[in-house]
Amino acid sequence: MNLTLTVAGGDQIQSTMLRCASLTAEDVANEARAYVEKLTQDNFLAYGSSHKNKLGGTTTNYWLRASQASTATATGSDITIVVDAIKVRGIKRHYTGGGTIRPSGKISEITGKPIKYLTIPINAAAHGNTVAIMQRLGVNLYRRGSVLVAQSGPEKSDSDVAMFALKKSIGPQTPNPAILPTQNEYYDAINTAVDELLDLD
Amino acid sequence: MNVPRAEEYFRGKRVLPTELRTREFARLPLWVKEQSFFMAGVMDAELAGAFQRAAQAVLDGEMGEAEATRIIREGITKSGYKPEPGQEGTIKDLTTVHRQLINLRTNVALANGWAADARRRTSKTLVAYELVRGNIPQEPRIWAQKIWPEAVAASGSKAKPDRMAALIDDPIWLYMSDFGVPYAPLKWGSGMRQSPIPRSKAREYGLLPPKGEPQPPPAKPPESLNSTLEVAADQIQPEKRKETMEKLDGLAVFVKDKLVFTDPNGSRPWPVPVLGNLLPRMNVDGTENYQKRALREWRNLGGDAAAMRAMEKEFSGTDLLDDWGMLVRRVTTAERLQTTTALVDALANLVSLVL
Repeated sequence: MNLTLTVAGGDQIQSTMLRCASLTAEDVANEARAYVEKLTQDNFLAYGSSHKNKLGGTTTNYWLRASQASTATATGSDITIVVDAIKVRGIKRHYTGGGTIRPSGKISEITGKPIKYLTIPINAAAHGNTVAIMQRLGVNLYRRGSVLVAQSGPEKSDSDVAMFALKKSIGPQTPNPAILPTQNEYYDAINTAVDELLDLD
Repeated sequence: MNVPRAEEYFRGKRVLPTELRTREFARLPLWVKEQSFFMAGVMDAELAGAFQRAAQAVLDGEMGEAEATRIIREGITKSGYKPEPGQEGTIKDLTTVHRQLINLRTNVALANGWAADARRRTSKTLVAYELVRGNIPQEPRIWAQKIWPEAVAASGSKAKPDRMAALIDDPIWLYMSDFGVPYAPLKWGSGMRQSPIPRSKAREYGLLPPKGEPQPPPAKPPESLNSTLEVAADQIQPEKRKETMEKLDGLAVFVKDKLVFTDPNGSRPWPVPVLGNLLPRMNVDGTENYQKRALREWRNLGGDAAAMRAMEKEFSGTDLLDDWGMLVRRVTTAERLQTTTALVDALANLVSLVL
């Protein structure tokens, strides 16, 4: 589900119009839109550059992709920010927190049976990968209790490393409002847009 | 205002079989790169098409990376592709998941980069980009100390070597790109991104002259895929130009010393008066201009805002709707329209010129 947030820019846009008659409402709204979009994108970039994934694996560029998936549109004096969940799955859940996630029950490409478990990476090498991708990378995964381990030699052994935990469900996720700017920061961005417009020669 | 979208941009690309490698391809004109989907050294259009469909599916949100590689695997099987002897298992082997994922991620990232850049160019006051980090890389590169100052010196940039910022149209962005395009991802895997900055900050960074002095022209608005399609025509003698124009039958016009493609059925933005001359011309195969036909359908549906919505319903899934979409976009961009009312007025004006 998309992450959507609306900022009301009515008062600021109206007061700008009174200060500069040559600007149209569309001029001001579009400029405010661009600054709100920039602020959202910059916030995701700053978050991504200060939060390492817990497993220490190669980055999946999740926050960088969130930045690219953020757009703002102006409708009248409202500015709506949408972070496209198609491009960054689970983004709304990060912001608002969420309920329990369970397996889809779809037919597994690997086993040919309905999916019963979520596979949660527990090793840096598994971070950002799915079981299907790892198998295609040549990693032989097998189940040991409630984990999937990677076979390191020709035979299974005790030294084989656990890659994924098998979970019937996970959650609920704690909300993290810090991934988006605050309403006050958005208002400041709109003010900056207005100031810059008024400063045009 | 229409928001430029990565998936729509990518859908407009056509497969270009080529023997060129990535670095050679990057030297081609921007319009070739933006209009074509190519893969280093892949001459089989069917095979490249499978990679393109996979990236499109990811951009459309229809599937994740793992699922999309299935489209690639099917394409490889169908084409009968086999890696060159000695290249099995290397990055040049298209059957390896490493190669498939790199290709997929690169194409998705470039399409997203184009859309972000196009959206930013609609602002009147965000005039420059600052390079910022968007992730924590495994091996950070020395951007501020080495990569940026070297690029400033080598690219003819007007940016300062000690501040990683430059005007949006500065040549440094194109120079720094591994892919020969002026938007992210500039250096693959670097995690560096362009953050737009306002005029006041650009002035503070020394990128703009002080207030009151002549300012550089604003950044170009979002460009169509055909906007840079032109050839230098200074070799063509003035007396030969008329003959050339006749042969081209409106497909291109001379603008100063350049022969510029008019893109009669495409997306290149032209103001209404120019379209008024362009659309009445027949296609080279003698058929009616496709966008003229779409314009007529819109007029027949009422020629108003309601007719715009009716077009989508009436012609859903047809080529005519694509033609209509391109016409609307090129008018909106060229005339810098921001409201539906203004667009309807512009199209009504075009109807009076064309139909």
